[in-house]
Amino acid sequence: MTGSSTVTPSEHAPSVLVVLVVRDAARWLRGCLSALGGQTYPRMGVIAVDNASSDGSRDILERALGERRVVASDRDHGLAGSVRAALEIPAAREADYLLVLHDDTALDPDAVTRLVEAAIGMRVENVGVVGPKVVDWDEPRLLRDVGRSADRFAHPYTPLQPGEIDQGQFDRVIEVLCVPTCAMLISREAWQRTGLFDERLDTRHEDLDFCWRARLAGFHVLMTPLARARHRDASAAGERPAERYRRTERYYEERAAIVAMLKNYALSSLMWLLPLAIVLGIFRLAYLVLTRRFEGALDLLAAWGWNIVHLPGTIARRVRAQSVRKVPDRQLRRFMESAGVRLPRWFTAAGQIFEEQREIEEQDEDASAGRRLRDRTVSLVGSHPVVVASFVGALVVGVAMRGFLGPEPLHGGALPLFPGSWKGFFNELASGYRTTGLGGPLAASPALGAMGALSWVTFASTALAQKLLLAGGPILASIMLYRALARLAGSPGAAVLGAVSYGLSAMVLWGFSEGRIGLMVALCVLPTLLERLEVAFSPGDLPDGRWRFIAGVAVTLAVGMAFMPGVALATAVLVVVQILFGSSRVRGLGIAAAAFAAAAVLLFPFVPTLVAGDAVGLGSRIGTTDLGALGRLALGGGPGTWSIAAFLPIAAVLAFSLVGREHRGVANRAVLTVIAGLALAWSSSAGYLPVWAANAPIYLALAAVGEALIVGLGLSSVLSGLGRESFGLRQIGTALLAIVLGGGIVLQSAGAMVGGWAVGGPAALPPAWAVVSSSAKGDFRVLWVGGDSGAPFVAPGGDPEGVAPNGTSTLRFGLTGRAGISGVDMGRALTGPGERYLERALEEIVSGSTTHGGALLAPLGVRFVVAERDDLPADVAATFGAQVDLDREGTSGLLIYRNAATLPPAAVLPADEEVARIAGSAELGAIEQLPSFRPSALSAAPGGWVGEASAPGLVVVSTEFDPEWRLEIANGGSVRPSEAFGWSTDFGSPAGALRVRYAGQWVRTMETIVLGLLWLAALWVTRKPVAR
Amino acid sequence: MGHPEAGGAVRSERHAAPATRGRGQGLLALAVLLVVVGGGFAFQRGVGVATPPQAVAATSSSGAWFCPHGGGPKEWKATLFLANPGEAPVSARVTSISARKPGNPRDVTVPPQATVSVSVPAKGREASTFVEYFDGWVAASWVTQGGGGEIGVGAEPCASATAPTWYVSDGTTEQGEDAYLVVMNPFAVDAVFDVVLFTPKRAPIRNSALTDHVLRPGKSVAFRLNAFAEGDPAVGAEVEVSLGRVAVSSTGITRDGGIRDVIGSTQAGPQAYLPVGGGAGQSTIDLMVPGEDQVDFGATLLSGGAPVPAGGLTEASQNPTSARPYPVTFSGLSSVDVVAQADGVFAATLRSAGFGNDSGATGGAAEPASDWVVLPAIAGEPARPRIVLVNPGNASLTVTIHALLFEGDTPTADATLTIPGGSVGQVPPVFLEGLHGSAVEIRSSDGDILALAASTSLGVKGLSTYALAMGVAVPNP
Repeated sequence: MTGSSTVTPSEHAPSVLVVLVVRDAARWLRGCLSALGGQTYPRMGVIAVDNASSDGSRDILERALGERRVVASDRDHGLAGSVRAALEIPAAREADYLLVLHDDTALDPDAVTRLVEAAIGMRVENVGVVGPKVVDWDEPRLLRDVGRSADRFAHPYTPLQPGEIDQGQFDRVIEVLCVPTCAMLISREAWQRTGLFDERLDTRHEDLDFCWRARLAGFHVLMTPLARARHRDASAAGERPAERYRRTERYYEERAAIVAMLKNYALSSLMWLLPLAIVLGIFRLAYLVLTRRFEGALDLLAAWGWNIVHLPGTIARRVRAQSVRKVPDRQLRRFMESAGVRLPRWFTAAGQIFEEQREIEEQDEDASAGRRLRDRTVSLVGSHPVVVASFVGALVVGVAMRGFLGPEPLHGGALPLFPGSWKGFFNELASGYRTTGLGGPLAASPALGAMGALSWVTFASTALAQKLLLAGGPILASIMLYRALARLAGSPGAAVLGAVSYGLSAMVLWGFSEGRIGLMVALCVLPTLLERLEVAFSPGDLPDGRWRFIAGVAVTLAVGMAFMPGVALATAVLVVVQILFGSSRVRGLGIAAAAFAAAAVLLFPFVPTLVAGDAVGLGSRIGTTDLGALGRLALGGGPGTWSIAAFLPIAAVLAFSLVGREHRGVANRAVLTVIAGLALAWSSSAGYLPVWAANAPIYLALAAVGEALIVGLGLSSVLSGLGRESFGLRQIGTALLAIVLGGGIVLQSAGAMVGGWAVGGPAALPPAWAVVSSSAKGDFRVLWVGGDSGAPFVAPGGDPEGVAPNGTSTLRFGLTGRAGISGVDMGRALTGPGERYLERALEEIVSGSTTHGGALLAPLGVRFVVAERDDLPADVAATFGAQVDLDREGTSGLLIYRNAATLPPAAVLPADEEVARIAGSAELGAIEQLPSFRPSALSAAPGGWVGEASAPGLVVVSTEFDPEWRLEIANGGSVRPSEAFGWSTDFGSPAGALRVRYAGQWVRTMETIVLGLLWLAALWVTRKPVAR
Repeated sequence: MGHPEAGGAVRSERHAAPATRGRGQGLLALAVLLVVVGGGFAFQRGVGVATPPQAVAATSSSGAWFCPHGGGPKEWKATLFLANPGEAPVSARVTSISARKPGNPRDVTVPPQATVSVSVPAKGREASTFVEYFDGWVAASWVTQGGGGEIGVGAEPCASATAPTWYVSDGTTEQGEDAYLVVMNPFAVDAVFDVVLFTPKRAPIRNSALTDHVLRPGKSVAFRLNAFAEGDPAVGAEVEVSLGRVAVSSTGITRDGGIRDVIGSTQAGPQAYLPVGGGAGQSTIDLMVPGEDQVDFGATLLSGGAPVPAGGLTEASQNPTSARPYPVTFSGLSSVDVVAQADGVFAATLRSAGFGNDSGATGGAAEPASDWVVLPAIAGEPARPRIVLVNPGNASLTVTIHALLFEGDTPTADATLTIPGGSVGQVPPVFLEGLHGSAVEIRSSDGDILALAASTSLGVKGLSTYALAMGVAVPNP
């Protein structure tokens, strides 16, 4: 404090009226009053406004100031109301300056003098507002406020770092956008021209709006460090007995920010800033929802809602603010920060890292360049493993996924086709019948709700949502494994390496390459499930309490099962391992059972889908019995599935040998998990497990999680204790582990960066697919067949959904729509009477007993049968070639048979006795006599199909029979269905307009509503807590 | 396992004392590795992959016959014979195919143990018929009868399947002879094919009109081979299908009288059995070598006596990509067994003159079978139906002869017949006397035979027209 005083204590000094705003401040009020009493400024009066304090604050005030200087209110008016109340005293309105002062602020003795001095004596004209340097009440070394700016969207920004110490770094009078109201000197001219505080805003967020208005009116806002105030910030610290604010800081800040924008920006600025703010708000909302910060999301919504409701008042205040405008917006921009105000902080952190490195370099000046590089690398990685991994990971991911950047949607691999609109997901979710496969009542997965929501958030682009889901898979999987490892091992460095090795494992890269969104989600949830079950079966306390813990596990499990039902199998394996080798078995089993039950509740419409057809939906027909491939966790080809992928199992073995006693229990269970995963994956592929339990991908994913966990645990032991041990086998093992892990990570990264993924642009589809995709308009289905190899079909056929057994000529098959596998079938298997019919028909064809396979497939709506040329056993190919109604299309690469006897999935057939006889029969011997037609097809419409019959006929709908189907005819009548071909639906139809409608929709609608409420409740229970 | 520390809370483990050296942890890791790797290999070798189950028994049975019988002026007649040797009725759907749009399908039911006939259109050289059958199995063949100045009868079994390559070797385009190639496409997609003609001396004939010929769905076409290879005593044709599927036959017409039909063969092979009988004895073997290598072959004549070389063909050879006629003469019932040496393959047809002004032809069979259905090869009454039975093996065979009655035919008791090894026999004429449209099932229980219908019909004493038609081997159940 070296500034010389220019305000002499005389009667010519400007008068200052201190408006002390008080509420329930008895504990600290005396300090505030005492500081006021010690002020050296000569012309200063004080009026205190007590806002219905109940703790004796009013008595204190009256004793200190006298009753005349205390305005007592019977309710809390807030700061704006208090100032307004004070100014109702005529004398108060005459004061040259108002000093708004909070009851938890103590001014230094010369503070008022210095404030006035800054206002009139700094050779700055038109100073309207002045604030002091605000420091902590208890620790005056800590800076609390030195004036603030804001970003373009009116969110306040302080240049201070948390806990920043006052070292004189802000000791100069600076012009700022705003100063806090805890001690704010306002000239009479300023408040008379701009108006007082906006009483709609709360005490802590009205400063920016007021100062901004003052600035618009041409006044300067200064912060003078010569005046110092200690601020307790009692409201933020929750020290007031009855805090009136029920919402979070985020709400009030957001609310005030929007108000400030709407009031203070010129129309030209508002025209581009407001839409931008809305878009950013949507992004923030999505982020908050996706990270289960629901309260934050609600606060954000509430802030916008409040502003919409109070828009008339805001407009009125805007008129007032703009009417005194003297300064254009561009002149204020120098007091504002860019929207990315956090970016400088990241650079600051980066700067600190570089500074550390520079210091190390200085210390190692004498060392060789190689050593310096090594030391710096070790230091950097050791000190900031997450930062380094994130940076390198971003680089690898950026290069590896460069092909995803184009606007075209992804194709290829086993990637399911997303519907054209985000509504498609919700329509299927809420549909009473299955619109894909062969129909039936089995509900869609709740995963569709998540995918629909994501599609909506991503500008209603399902293609973008698809890319985000897929591209985010490996990243999120790594993050989830990092979090699990960090909790179990406690070492960030080890967790990072474990997570990186997991993210670069053949399993993750194969799943990504193939576009297996379900598997990617499974790979994300499995680390968390493993870690949660470790905690559940451990004797310690459960974090967040038992019920919240169970809810968390249930939500994780339900999410995984919704995308890949086989996650239930993996979780069961984890539970069995824990039951056998864990400790708190009873508690753990109880938690696991409760979590399974709760997950079932969260998936309740989907549970019948999961258990239908002997729970075939839990399994997968993908697999390999190649031990080498299983050992390196590779179920197929693609970047990163080469022999280098063996780095993870090798590293896991080495790491297991290095695991210290503190992690041995977890590591042993992880080893058993790996062994179980590998054994079950082989058994699944070799055909020794029942269909519901055979799921090689999920077991191999479990093995990958276990191996990465072991790597992390071993590294954690090594990093924590190796330096204190004498040289020996452990050091050699550590060196080997470092070599294997380092080499593996580098080579896998290189492989990922240069390799060609199975998914990509349109070129990822085989050229021969154009024969099918460019086929005539209209709906039809495609049957995919191949030998029983455990491989997926060529794109876009997806995974096999059943087998037609025939010894060594056993056929695997799948059924898709005309565009290939559908994203709305996520987690939903092909099962039911239609699937059984399909299996029978294929068995019949493969047996060679029929030459009318096309007619057998016609009721299924199959127009094309597609196989990969080398995938179909020769004898099976011969039987398909012998079918008189399956004609080979001339293509290379694929065997494509066009069904000459095809029927559309919904069609009107001629009213013919023979046709009616065949349709009414379930016998294949009769169905194969189905003659070729040119039926009139019905078009798919919401809730069914529509079309017109030119003559009376038979409406055949290739969807599983359900008595709830109705044919609505032109005269308003309704026809009940009968069973066709032993599994599907038909109606006798008159001529005229027709509509096939599902009458049982209301049940699914109710289920969907309940499901939505259940998920909202579950997510609310497991939400991330926010600080109030 | 059961480590005491395993029971510790996860977080308490986290805050445990610094890692201490784990003695034996390395050995444990090694043991785990050995268990995993060793166990994996042991399982893979010891247990292996589970064998998928067999398919359940088929519940349907269907098939198709492709009958490119050809035709001519509108006076031509064509009759399909369908015979059902099974125990349940079989339904059939008959669709005529021509250069125009397909005819409306006709449904026919073939009663068990019976034969039915269906008259089908025969207008136009390309006239063909597509037969689908359900709920069982039937044999199918055709008999065409000339008209409009063209005299003669042709008969041949229909083809049971399509193939990417067809061979027909019965063509001759010498003066007075017209050779037609009939190609049918009863399917729902285009068929695209090339035709290559082989003659005795000329290089293979590839004409632009015969190249990449597109045959629309549900249509048939006939090519007059004289237009491409006039004056050749033997013209063989190879049809190479590049897209879609077709069935092929040849129709030979002698202007002075005589109609021959031969169904194409779907593969060239190293051996052909060419039975013959009931005719005048003058015959010609038309041999076509489609491959790029010369074929050395010999032909053996089986008859009532010991096998002898046929037509002196003991160590004959034929140039690659050629077709040649080899005259052979015999009397009575016979069979020529043509066998190629080394890896040679060929297609063969036997043409034989009848007693009247007609000749017959057959493509024979590549191999014998135990069960045959021989369908009628007569065009009307009077008729002298004959069925030639060939036992190409060394041991005697006993065959059972059973009539699959045509409506109106006289029921006949089953008969048995013993055929010595390496000889030729026939169904007793008396057995066939009351059978005018019935097929005959020939079943051998102790070996494989060949069966051929070699019949004359119409005219004086039923000797005017002559036709040869191989029986249809009954597929194994």
